[in-house]
Amino acid sequence: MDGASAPDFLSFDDAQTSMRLLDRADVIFECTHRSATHDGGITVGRDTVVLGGTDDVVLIESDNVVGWWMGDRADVTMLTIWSRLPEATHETSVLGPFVGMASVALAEIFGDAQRPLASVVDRLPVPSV
Amino acid sequence: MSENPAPADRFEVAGSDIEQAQELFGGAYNAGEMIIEPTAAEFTYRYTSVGDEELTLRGTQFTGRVTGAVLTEGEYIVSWLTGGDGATDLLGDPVRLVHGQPAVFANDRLAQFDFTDYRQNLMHFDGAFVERVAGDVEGASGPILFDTTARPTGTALRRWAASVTAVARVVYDDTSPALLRAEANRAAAIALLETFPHTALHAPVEIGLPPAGKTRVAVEFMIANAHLPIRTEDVAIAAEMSQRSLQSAFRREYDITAHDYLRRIRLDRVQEELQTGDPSGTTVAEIAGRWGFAHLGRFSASYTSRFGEYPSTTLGS
Repeated sequence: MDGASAPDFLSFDDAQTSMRLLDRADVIFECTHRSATHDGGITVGRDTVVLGGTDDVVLIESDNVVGWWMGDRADVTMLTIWSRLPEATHETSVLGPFVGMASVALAEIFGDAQRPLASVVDRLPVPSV
Repeated sequence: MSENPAPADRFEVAGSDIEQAQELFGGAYNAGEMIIEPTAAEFTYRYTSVGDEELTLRGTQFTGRVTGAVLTEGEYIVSWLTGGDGATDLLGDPVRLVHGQPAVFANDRLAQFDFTDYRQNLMHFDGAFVERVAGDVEGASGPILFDTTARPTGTALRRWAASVTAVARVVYDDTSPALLRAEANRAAAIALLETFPHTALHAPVEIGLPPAGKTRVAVEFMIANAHLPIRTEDVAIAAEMSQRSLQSAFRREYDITAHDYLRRIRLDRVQEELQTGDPSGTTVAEIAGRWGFAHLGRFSASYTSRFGEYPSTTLGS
C-alpha cells in the first residue's frame, strides 16, 4: 500500500454524530437525518428509545412508552410517541425509505401502533421535540 | 447561495434484522438484486450518507455476507474498503477491493458483487457535476468512461488519500460555509479525474468567437459574486452564454479556464485580507477557508505561484 491509504468515512461520521447515545448492543434499529428542512430520527433499543434531532434529543425508557403512531404531515412522516415518564407527547420526523423499518422495530418493542386512551392524551403536554 | 455555514444533508440507518436490511438495500438503493446472509458473527448493519446533490460521502458496515448486482446510472461511484473482503464486477472486469485503495464502479450495466464482514467507503458523484468539471479542466463534454480496473498506488494513491481526507473534513464539518463545500466538491471531482484513467465519450467541440462584451459581463459577475459558491454555469447564465462558449472565451482571451479565473479573483481577495489582517488574531487557513480553498497545501502553492511569496509572509508583513 506504499504507506498511503484512503480514509474511513464511518470514523468521520462517528466524530460528528451527537445522537448516538445508546449502547450499540441495545440498539435494534436506528435512523437519523438532517437537512435544511427536517432534522430528526429515532433510535429504538430494547430498554430505551431516543427521539429527536441533532440538537434536541429525548431519551425515554421503553417501559414508560404508552403508545406510538406514525402519519404523514405535509411532505414528511411524523412519529409520535406518548410516554408517562416523562409525562409527555414526543414527535420526530422519519424519512420515507425508513418508515416501514421503523414501524417494524417499534412494533417489536411496543406492540402495534396505537394511540393511548383519550383520557391519557388529553392531559399530556404538547410535543417536546 | 449563501456564505454562511450550511450543514450538509445527512442520514444514517442501522439495525440487526436481515430482512429489514434486505428490504432497504434491495429496494431503495438501486440494487438489481441482493442476498444477505449471516456469518459467524451476529448480524448488524449500518449505513451513513452525508453531502449534497453534487457529492455524497457514504459509509457502510455489515457483519454478514452480501451478494448481488447493482446498476449505477446517472452518477459516478468510487469506493474502497477499510475492513473485510469484497469484490465487484464479477462477471465483467472483476475488481477485488484492497483496504484503502479506491476503484471506480462500472456504469450503465449490472455489476455483480460479493462482500463479507466489511466496512466500505463510497463517494457518489452526480454524473452531470463530474462531466461539468471535466469540461472545465479537460475541455471534454458528455459522459465519461472510467477504467474500472485501475487502482492507484504510490504517489497517486497518497495524493488521492490526501485530497479525499481534506474533502471529508469539510463535508463532515457542520460549520463549513457553502462556498467551501462547493470548492471541496470540485476538488473531489478533480481528484477523481486526475486519479482514474478515463475517456470522454464525446470529443471536445470547438466553437466560434463569443462576443467580447459577454466575456466582460462574465468577469464582472465573478468579481461581484466571488464570495458566494457560484459555479461556472451560474457565470454562463449571467453572461447569457453556453458553458462551452464561456470556457472557449476564457481559454482564448486569458489562456485559463473560467473556474481558474474565478480562483484568481478569490486569491486576490485572500491577498487583500492577508495584507490587512492581524497576524496575532488571524490565520492563513482561516482566510483561505473563507474563500473556498479547502486544501491548504494546494492553496499555498497557488498563492505563491501568483504572488511570489508565501501567504504567511503576506500576513506577517
